[in-house]
Amino acid sequence: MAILVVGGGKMGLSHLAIVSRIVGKDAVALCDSSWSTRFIFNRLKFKTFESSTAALASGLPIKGLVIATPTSSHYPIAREALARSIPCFIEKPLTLSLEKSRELRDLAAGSNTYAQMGFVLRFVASFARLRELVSSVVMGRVKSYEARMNGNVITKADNDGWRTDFKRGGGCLNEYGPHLIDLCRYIFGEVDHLDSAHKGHVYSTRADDKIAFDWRHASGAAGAVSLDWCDTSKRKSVIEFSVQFEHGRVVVDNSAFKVTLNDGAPVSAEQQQALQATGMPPRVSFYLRGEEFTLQLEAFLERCMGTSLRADETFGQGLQASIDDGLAVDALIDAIAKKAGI
Amino acid sequence: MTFGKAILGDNQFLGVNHADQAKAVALNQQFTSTQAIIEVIGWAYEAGIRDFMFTTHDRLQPVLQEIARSNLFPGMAYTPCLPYAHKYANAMAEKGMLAVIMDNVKATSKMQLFGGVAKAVAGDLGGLMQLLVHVELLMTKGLPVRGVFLQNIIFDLLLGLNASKILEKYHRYVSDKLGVLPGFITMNHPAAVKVLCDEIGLEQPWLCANFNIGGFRTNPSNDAVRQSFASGKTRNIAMSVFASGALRGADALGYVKGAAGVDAILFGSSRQANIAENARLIFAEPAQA
Repeated sequence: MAILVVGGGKMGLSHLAIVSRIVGKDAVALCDSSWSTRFIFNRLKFKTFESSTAALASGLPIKGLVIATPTSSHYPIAREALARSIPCFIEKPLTLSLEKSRELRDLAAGSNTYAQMGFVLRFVASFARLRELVSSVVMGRVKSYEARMNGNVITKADNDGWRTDFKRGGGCLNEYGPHLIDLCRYIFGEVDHLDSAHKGHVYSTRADDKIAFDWRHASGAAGAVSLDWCDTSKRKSVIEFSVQFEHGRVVVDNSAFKVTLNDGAPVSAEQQQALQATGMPPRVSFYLRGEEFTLQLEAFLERCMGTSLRADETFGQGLQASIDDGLAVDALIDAIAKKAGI
Repeated sequence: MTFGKAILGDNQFLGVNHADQAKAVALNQQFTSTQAIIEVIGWAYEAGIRDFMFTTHDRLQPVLQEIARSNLFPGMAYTPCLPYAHKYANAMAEKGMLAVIMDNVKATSKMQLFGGVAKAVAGDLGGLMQLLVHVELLMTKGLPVRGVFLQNIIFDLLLGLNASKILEKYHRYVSDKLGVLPGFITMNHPAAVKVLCDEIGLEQPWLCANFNIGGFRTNPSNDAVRQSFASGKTRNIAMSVFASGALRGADALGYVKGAAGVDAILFGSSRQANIAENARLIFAEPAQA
């Protein structure tokens, strides 16, 4: 039996290392179209295949696929696996076409096959905590919020690569958008109406370098969201939420969680203490780049293997994103791109 | 040769704060100047610290050059931790792994490049690793080097991939050819001990890992990490002992000093008073267990 990791790039490598540590190296194989990548991983004693098609045809009993190839190839790879009822973990975004995303969703639903999206930030403890706070209504309803994702990814003009070409899955909206858009849906619920969207350019001419949009959730909460991958003040990408509740304000980023209550807020002393407590990230079976990367794979692998693989049973249950979430995010990206004129 | 009990780290210079992103951004701005960084290293030197452990980040290059040129801190030893991963990560997403390796080895001499590439083609990935070590070590020219450590992002990746041969060759190269202490930074101390000591058979390799009373990033559990430190199979540098500022002062240090298997403590700070106080507590006679 084997878990196939498809794509030996940065994400694929990270997934391969974590999956190998969790299920054992002998139970993992890597698919990559590049001869040199296969050569290197053969030397490291991994089973390798030129493509997922070749792996599926090899007779190896495959329990699941981790798809970490460039977005343009998600569709054919996932379609082939889902048609055989093999569970898939698909990196974000799902596809570059709404039609294809819908087809994959229908295929997974039709064959009753588990398909999980790589919206990894759902597993960041501070964001999971914000979601709980929103649904608990301890601080009342959410009136409005600001959400930002800033990083320092594009530092010079590059008008050749796919990364700065919107049509090939590049640009800030395609790169950062899926993460933050999914988080907003996950924390505040379905988006009801997109009011406005504006793009900005710093270096890239074929894609956006920054984008801002305003929308409204079905709950009535208004969100102002912005993405910027040319922010030189950031060492790595940072997400920040500033949420206005009826009874106070909460500021959350990838690690911090700060609550300010309004004077006279109807919140008990016990609840206040819980709100001010400092959280610790959960423990994981194997740490590589952040707990969240392991937690999302623990969630996927336990569906493939039918057994619990978590180091910390108290965190991360049911947080994962489904292929329906993947489709919903693709639909929002499509709407934002159209409105912003990308 | 061994490490002093207290080692100055460099997270503060690079804008790293695991608990507070806003503080991280402020630190990142504060230490854009070479002199600001040298001043903090000077505070550590005055407090008796003789080890500086740092990432091979571009920002530290002029700092190290200035220290070497002016012979600022006699007796101080330097331990680079490589590679600075963010510098490669972006390039890798864009161009792929081999192109990144090739770009970076261009900085070295043609003969070394030839040797490294020839070895890589022959499937000797350890040879390529040696070449990367060589390139990254150009930064410490003219300074006494105590050890060379692999960053957790690359070590834990190799650990996950179970790339035993590469790890073994790296260890041998740093120890035999460079004549300094090889080491590994990890977020998975128990898994590292299993692979390095039980599977590869290294004798007491140096590991640097989180160790703190609150159990911050001690995977897979705080107990497992405590037992793993105490196993006697490795020599250990404890880091994140204050759990990124969430725990303070003597309590946090007392826990670490009283634990078995802690040979040295790595900490970073941007405040003179904190550096002096932490050094004093670390150098003081062991707390009663």
